[in-house]
Amino acid sequence: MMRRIAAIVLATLLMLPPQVMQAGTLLLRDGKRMDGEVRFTTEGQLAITPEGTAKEQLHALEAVQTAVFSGKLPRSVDANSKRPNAEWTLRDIGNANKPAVMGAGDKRITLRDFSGGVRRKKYGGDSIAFIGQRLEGDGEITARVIVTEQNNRARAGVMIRETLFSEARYVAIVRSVDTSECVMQVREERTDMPEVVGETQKPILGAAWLRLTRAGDKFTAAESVDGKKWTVLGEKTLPLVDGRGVFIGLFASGTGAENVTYFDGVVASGKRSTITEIDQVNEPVSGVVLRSGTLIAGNIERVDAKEVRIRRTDNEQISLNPASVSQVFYASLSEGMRAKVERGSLGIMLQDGDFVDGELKEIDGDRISVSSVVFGITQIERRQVAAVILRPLAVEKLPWVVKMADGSEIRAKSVKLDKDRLVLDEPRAGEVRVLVKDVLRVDSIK
Amino acid sequence: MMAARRVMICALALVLGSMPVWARFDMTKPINGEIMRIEGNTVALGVGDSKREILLAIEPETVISLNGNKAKWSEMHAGFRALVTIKDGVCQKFEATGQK
Repeated sequence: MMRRIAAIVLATLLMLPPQVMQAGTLLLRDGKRMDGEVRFTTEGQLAITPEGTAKEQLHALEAVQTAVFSGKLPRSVDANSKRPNAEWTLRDIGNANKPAVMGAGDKRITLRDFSGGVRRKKYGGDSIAFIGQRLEGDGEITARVIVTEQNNRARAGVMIRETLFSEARYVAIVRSVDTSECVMQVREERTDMPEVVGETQKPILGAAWLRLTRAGDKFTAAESVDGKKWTVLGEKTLPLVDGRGVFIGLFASGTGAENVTYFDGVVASGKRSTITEIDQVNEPVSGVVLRSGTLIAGNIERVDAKEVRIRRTDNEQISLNPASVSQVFYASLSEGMRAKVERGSLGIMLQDGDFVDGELKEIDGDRISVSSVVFGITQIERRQVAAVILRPLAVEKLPWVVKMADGSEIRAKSVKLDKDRLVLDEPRAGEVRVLVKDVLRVDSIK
Repeated sequence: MMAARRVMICALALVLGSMPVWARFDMTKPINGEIMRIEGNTVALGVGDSKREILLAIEPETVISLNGNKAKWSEMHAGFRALVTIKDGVCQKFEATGQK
């Protein structure tokens, strides 16, 4: 009997919607600003426990101008501080069993992560904990890395990566605990497994100093047992898309169980800034822009005259009427590319930056046919294409804008809560349901 | 034919599986080596029959002993045998044996 009651209680607890409690900010319509723990209530209100208080306040969604979640507050820019902890931001990249935790003292950064390593995109991309900053142009990071986990899959090191997406291109120095070796590891293409381009000559037992330098497109990796005499592991030329900068920092990954790594004497140089809310909104690698201005990030599964179908990062499939789609993009666009796309011409933006004016005729497997006034019907290989512009934007002024962690920015006529999801009424896509835990920011525009 | 193929695959797996073992260290056990060189607080140890060199930094908290007695780092010399215990990612014990 007691066992049955316990089972019923457990089942009831499991059925309850998850409590989503995150650090953030509420800006109210009356101009009041509060920082603290922000969450959606099950009644669809926004609740905040302001910093320094224990009492939760409830606010109707209509009273809120902006709600920012999950520690995504913009922070002050600190371009050249050498302090190890002040402006470092922790970010779980990819799926981790639990969120990582960072502790920062004057000399040491402690990282407890529950992530699972670097992987191919089809297996979900990297699963690492990353402590980073934004870097514009040349820069360098040095740290003494101590991997405490004795499990042979524990890895840690320093890294410069193009985006905070799990399949981002990057250069890293990866320290393995089982071999006591460091390797210079590079992911040149987003869908690839990383490659080793340089490695230790003499393994270092215990703690090791690592240094990764970016000078133009050239990266240099070095290691040292004492932080004084350095040995170059390798060099690699890799042009990273550097529109608003790349990300420089420390990382660790393990087996999904708790993995503790210490980073001592962390020093970064170059034009750096703290990762802000805007940075956290990853630039989507692929997705669609609707004519309403809504951007939905995800994998493009189908584009033809009948349907545009996209699979979002939360694995939900969205089927769209092609008439409601303005752009389909297969790669993150550089600033120059974006400027060309925003001119409003229909056609195809190529990966090399060229723009082919014309009307999309067909996407057949790996080939895209476009009808151009100058060239007639032209076939282009899909892998050469960064974006297809199908129709001009007709941005509507809508009362709600919801920004998601995967880079989606959804404009909606209404927003309501349904258990652990926000239900957004998007004028072109219809009802779009998103997980509350993935919402970075909600803006009410009136 | 199938059995022969299976034997071949098993043999290959055994060979491949055993390949990296020499290069790996079991950090849960002390690592045995010979002091090759000392530079400041760092030491090059020769490990295994091939005396493959690995480097190690001695930490302020490392417990150092020579022939079972507590010792100073300055007492260490090339040619001594050493047993190194790694804990929490750093050198916890450096136990040397040898004649001065």
